[in-house]
Amino acid sequence: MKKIMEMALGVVTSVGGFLEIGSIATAAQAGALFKFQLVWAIILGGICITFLVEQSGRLAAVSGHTVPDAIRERFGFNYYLFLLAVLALVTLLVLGSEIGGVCVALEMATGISFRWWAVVVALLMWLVLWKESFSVVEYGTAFLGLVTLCFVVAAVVMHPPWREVAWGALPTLPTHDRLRYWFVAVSILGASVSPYLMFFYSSGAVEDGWKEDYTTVNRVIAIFGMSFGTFISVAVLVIAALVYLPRGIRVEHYAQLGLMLRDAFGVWGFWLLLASLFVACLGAAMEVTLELAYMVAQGFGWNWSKNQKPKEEARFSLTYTAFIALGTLLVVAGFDPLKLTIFSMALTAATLPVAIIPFLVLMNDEEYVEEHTNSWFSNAAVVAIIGLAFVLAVVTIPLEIFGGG
Amino acid sequence: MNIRSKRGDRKTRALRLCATATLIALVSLSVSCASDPQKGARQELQTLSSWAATLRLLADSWREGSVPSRYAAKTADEAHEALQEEWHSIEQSTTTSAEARAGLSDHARTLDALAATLAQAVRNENREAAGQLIAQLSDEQKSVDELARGAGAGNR
Repeated sequence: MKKIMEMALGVVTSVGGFLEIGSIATAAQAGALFKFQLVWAIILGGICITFLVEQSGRLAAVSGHTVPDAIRERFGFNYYLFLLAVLALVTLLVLGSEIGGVCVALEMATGISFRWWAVVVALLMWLVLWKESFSVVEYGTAFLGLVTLCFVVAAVVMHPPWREVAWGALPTLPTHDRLRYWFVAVSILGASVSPYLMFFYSSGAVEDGWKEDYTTVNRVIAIFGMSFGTFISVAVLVIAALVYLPRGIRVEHYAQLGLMLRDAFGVWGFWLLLASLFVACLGAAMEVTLELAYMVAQGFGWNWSKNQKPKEEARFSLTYTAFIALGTLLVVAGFDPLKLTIFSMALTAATLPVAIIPFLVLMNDEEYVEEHTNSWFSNAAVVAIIGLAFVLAVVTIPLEIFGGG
Repeated sequence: MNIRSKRGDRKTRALRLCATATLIALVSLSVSCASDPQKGARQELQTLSSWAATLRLLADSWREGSVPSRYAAKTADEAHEALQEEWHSIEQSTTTSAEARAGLSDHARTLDALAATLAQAVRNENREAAGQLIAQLSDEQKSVDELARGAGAGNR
């Protein structure tokens, strides 16, 4: 019974915590520019992250190691330092975009520029991380994040041509703006298949005290949680295709997002959109901050846990404080939140190989996962993801320059 | 070569790699976030049409009370700023003919003025004025779209 409750809680947490500024912005742009043509990219991203998250949870449950910790131990400190440098830089940009997302929601609600909100949001994040335990941070924002289900309701209420949406699950070539099409596809994949997601999942599994008997719980949470979350992203794309595309709105400015749910919900649409943006981005910002701090602390062998008092893990606490400050600086500096988001998602896609290749080795190492090593199917999936990651790594920067608009 | 100098070499290589990656990321970030004075006519037309449509939807939503005045005014201001940037971008463009630049510039100026007028109407709670602007924005968007079709552009 306890395991069933934990599964249910885990699935709900994954659903409520799935959407963030990256998935919202990339799905909205995809729908506004290419109707349902990029549904396949969201689904592909969802399948990839499901495999990676399930495996990272399995690693944590069986070995008691988080993914970063296991990589450091298995591959040595020098490789880990390289991995940390690359991922920390990109994840910091993601953090800036998530904080920007929260600030944009507050700007839409109050009319006060998002830059002024950055310090307030940073203080709020810091207070929650300082005072509250991991459960409150993870479950609190995830439950509040269930408000993002409004996108699913909106998509249903707007009666899209579901057959056309289903056809969008099959990859097709674009009929216009070819470079832009592939750039948006890369950004969608970067928003879905983020290394920080799988690293955070494994850290969360250790924080929650998962053991070997949690492998089934892990599998259910990964599959159902990521699947439902993917469905919400598809709903955002569908709404954008129905609201923006017929009118010729290209979603090149964050302020345009405020009009997305008006057709579906009237006066409530604006406030539901704001609530979704605020909660989803706040939750994601705190998760990203924690994961950055986890990566540093686990790499250097410091105490790290959100379930301990800050004074017992001073370096970990100082690290997440510093990352919050750095992420906030990006917003205060005035980088356009939407452009920062799209850029950071694309760059995330480019950094996938450095995280996933060592991960594949770990998932086949019996010293870590004992008899729970990957099946041939899981290995094939990860190899395919690595292949995809290499392609993304090569094409991202040129697409950004020539197709990023 | 002893172990210490091997470690030193590896650290130096790692540091160089990190510095290179940081430089590439920063350059890309600057390129992606900066406005591009070399955008072609096609992209300009798409952007102008997009802002015209956004302002129409915004005015309509505000008029019926679906969005609050604070958001409507702020978004109209953002549109006003963005359209001014587009106007400057068009003026500086070297890839567009003088004739096309003049046409684009006119539309950008018109839309810019309409955005500013909408922001003022919202601040004055003048819904009738917003209603009149919807018709003007619609005409302007049609005009831009016709120009785009003539130039072989548009993606609707």
